[in-house]
Amino acid sequence: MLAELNELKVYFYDQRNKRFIRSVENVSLEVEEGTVLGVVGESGCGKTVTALSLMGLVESEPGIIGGTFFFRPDDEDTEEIESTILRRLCTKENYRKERMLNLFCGLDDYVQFEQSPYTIIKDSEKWLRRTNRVMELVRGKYISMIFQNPGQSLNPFISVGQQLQRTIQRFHTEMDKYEIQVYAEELLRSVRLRRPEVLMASFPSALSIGMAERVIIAIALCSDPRLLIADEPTTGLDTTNIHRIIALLEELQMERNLALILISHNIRIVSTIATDILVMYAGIVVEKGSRADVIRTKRGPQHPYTEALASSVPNDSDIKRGKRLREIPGSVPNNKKEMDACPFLERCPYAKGALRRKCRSACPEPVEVSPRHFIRCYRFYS
Amino acid sequence: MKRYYYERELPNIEKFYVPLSKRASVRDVVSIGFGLFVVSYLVVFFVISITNSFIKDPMEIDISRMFLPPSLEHLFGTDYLGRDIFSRIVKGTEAFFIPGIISISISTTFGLLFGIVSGYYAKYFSKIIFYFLNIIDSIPRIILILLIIVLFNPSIYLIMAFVGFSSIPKVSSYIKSKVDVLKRQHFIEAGKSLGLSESSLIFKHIVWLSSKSVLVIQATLGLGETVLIETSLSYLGIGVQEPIPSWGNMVAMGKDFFFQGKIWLSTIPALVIMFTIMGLYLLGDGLNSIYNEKVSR
Amino acid sequence: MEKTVEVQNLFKYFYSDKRDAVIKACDNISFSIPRGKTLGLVGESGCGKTTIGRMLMRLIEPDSGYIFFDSMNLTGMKEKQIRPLRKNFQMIFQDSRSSFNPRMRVSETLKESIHLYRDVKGKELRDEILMCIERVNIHRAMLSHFVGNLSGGELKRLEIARVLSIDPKFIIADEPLSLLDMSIQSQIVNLLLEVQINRNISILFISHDLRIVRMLSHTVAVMYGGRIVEYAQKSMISENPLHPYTQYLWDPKSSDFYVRFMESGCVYKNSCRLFHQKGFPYICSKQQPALLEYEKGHFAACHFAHTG
Repeated sequence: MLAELNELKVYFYDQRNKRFIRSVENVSLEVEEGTVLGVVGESGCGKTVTALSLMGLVESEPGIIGGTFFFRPDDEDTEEIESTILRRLCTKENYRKERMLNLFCGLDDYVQFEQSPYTIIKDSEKWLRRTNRVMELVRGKYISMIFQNPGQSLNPFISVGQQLQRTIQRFHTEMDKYEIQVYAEELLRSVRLRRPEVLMASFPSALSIGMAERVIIAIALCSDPRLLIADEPTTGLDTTNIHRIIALLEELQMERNLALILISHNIRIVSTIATDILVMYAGIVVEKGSRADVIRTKRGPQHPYTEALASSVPNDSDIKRGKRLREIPGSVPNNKKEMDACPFLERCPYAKGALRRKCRSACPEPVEVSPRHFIRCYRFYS
Repeated sequence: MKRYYYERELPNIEKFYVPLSKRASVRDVVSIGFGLFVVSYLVVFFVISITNSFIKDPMEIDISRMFLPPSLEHLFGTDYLGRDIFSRIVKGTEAFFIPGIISISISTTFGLLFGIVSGYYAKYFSKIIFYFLNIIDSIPRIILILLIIVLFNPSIYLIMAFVGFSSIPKVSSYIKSKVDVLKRQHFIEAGKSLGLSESSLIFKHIVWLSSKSVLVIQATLGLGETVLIETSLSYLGIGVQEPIPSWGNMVAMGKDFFFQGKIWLSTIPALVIMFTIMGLYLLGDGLNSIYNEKVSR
Repeated sequence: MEKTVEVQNLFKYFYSDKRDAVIKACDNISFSIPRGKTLGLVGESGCGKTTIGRMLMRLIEPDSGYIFFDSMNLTGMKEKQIRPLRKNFQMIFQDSRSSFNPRMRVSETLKESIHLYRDVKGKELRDEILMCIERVNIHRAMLSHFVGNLSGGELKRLEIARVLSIDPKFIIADEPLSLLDMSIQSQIVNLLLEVQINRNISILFISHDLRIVRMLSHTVAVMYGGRIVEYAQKSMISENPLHPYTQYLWDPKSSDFYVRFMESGCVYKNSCRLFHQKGFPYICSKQQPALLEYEKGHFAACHFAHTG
């Protein structure tokens, strides 16, 4: 087990309307070494916030208010990190037998809940300072992230080569200038970019969007991380580029034994390379399991949202007949009110009759319908 | 069969564009409230003074009532000739009200015109318009005014028209930068493809919807500046002359009696000047802060 | 059948700043769209399809060639003459968020577009706006909201409503689906299907996704490097794609080739699978293949189209 996130809760406070927005509620995920976890969901369901909180980049008030994130950094350096972090953490609970460290340690000391009136008290400044001290050792070096919209992720004022070299310098302090340059060119070649010498001198504005995406992947990989989080790397690209980038990610992942978290709204793309899939809706995980379980071709349990997502992508026979596509009526609820009912209730084609009353009563808990396959739906309560 | 996309909770949170009423902070509300109060009393005073009603005659000399301190009958007291100071203050608004309107009308109208032309048709007109505007802008304003007064001895209306004229470059450059940015926005191209005429695009979309804030703010600040200039000039004895009251010359006349203990003769007009200018500038500042604030605070 | 739009021999080249590189956005493009039919234009980003759309809307001028609309020659006309004609052809943009002035409300936007070409007032206007909104399935309570507050899918639907309120004869849809989530894409695709069925409008549907284009169009043209490399009815494109690029678009998971060769000859040879398989035949480097008719109504530009 490389990384394990348990019961992550991220709330934001809306000043104007004086209420909490439940951005992420009780999300848990696990990533094994060398596997690909696909996170699927529409825009606004909290997947980007989850990714940012894994990197410790959530800064708004109050932000992360609950959960633990156990992560196992590299074996060789673990002793060093352990001692520095442990000295700061000073508790044994935040350290597990398998040499995993809780990167959100001490959260309980900074957060308090009060039930009535519903308030959350959090010392955000101190918490941010502490998280930053811990995360700085880990971020970029062991966990890397690539963001949406590649055109805006590169600094437009300095050349591609300089950006790459500066990042390499930060992580590989033992290399000298010449070695850094060689390593940079090697990185660019590893992401299948032709003529890296020319590319190093050019500026981001000269790159096409596919090339910019590859440069960003190269920058993210320069420290040889154990976990790469890719937040919607393919949105806005055309179909041919999407397949090339996904193929590239798969190759890199296999070469370097990298664990990858691939976030997207397109379940078909994710299912091409994912080993496990997580489906999110309105801030909660509605289905979690291996790829075979979640994307099934024969009959088996599946959350109605996953079903709807999978069928909104046309397959070949649908295209030839030119029929209407199956669509999910309505849109994602964006006023995240109290979780007093299943959030998918209004759009669910199965919520009828007696079942509907159950769906309206409370948010369903995850049910293990088969080994390591969890679904949050009252249809599968036995 | 009609199918509606039923939205369970109709979104009522303004995510992106927040209308003004929700964006204001307490400080802005106070500034704008104060500024509006100032504007309203200016208007009221002006109307009273030109209709010559409700107040005592500001020119009526009554030596028996010299140097009366503020009381219920004479709200601000009387001056060295027994004239009621409050009614003189009211009358004093006449000195700058109409000239101020003239000044801001000139600066905003021509500023808008030059700004639009040099912004929208930048290729042809931008350089040449700004060449002339920069010449105007480079001469310090007070020197210009004093020069004009010495040379031509004009009335206050002409002086203020000139002040307005000298503010054109600033307004133009604000409008031009706004137009420059907006012209490149995609919705202008989309509007063109719909078939909107150029004049409709410029006046409705660029000016009215997106730039009127700049004009309103420049107008309020311009009015504040007018008050400042007019009171300074009449304090120096150049503007409105005795016995016609102006806040500036009241301060000037009253200063001789300040150390005799009759402080209200010059202090009260001075406070009124400060109050008014501060109110106008705060109005401009508050409006600026709510119009131009980025959405997320 | 009466041809609504006809394009002949369009050329548009862009020159880089230093005048040393030329980008051939449109290289001898010709096609026609009959009344009430949809032409799908497919290609990667940078192949010139957006340029064609903007030239048809007369937002940019072609270097040479002709554009006919309802047998009227649009090419030489000035802006003043074209403006009244814009009632007949309209465009849906890729990024709908930036096509609206965010300070206007939804009802005001529709009012503006209706008033451009028709004089409707009062109650009739309100009914018209309501009808436009309901046709695209937006809830009527959204009418008073500011445009800036709508979500991506709603904005796209609003843009379609705005274009339909003008009632044009020809619509150009420039990559309408690319920035939307998959679930919203299906809603918009269904909406476009409805529009096609209920109204007799010709549509030019520009996209990079051949599958969706195949669903929505009657005829498909595949573009690469500024040229049309295949042109056929929809059934023929899926059953018998002749050009290797079309075959690649159907199944992008097949492996990728790139070899750098001279610029002359076929535009596709650098990435062409057939070029590699056949050992780099000379004819592909020498001559750009012409669009030849291989079956009735099925054109392809490849020297080896009948093989592979």
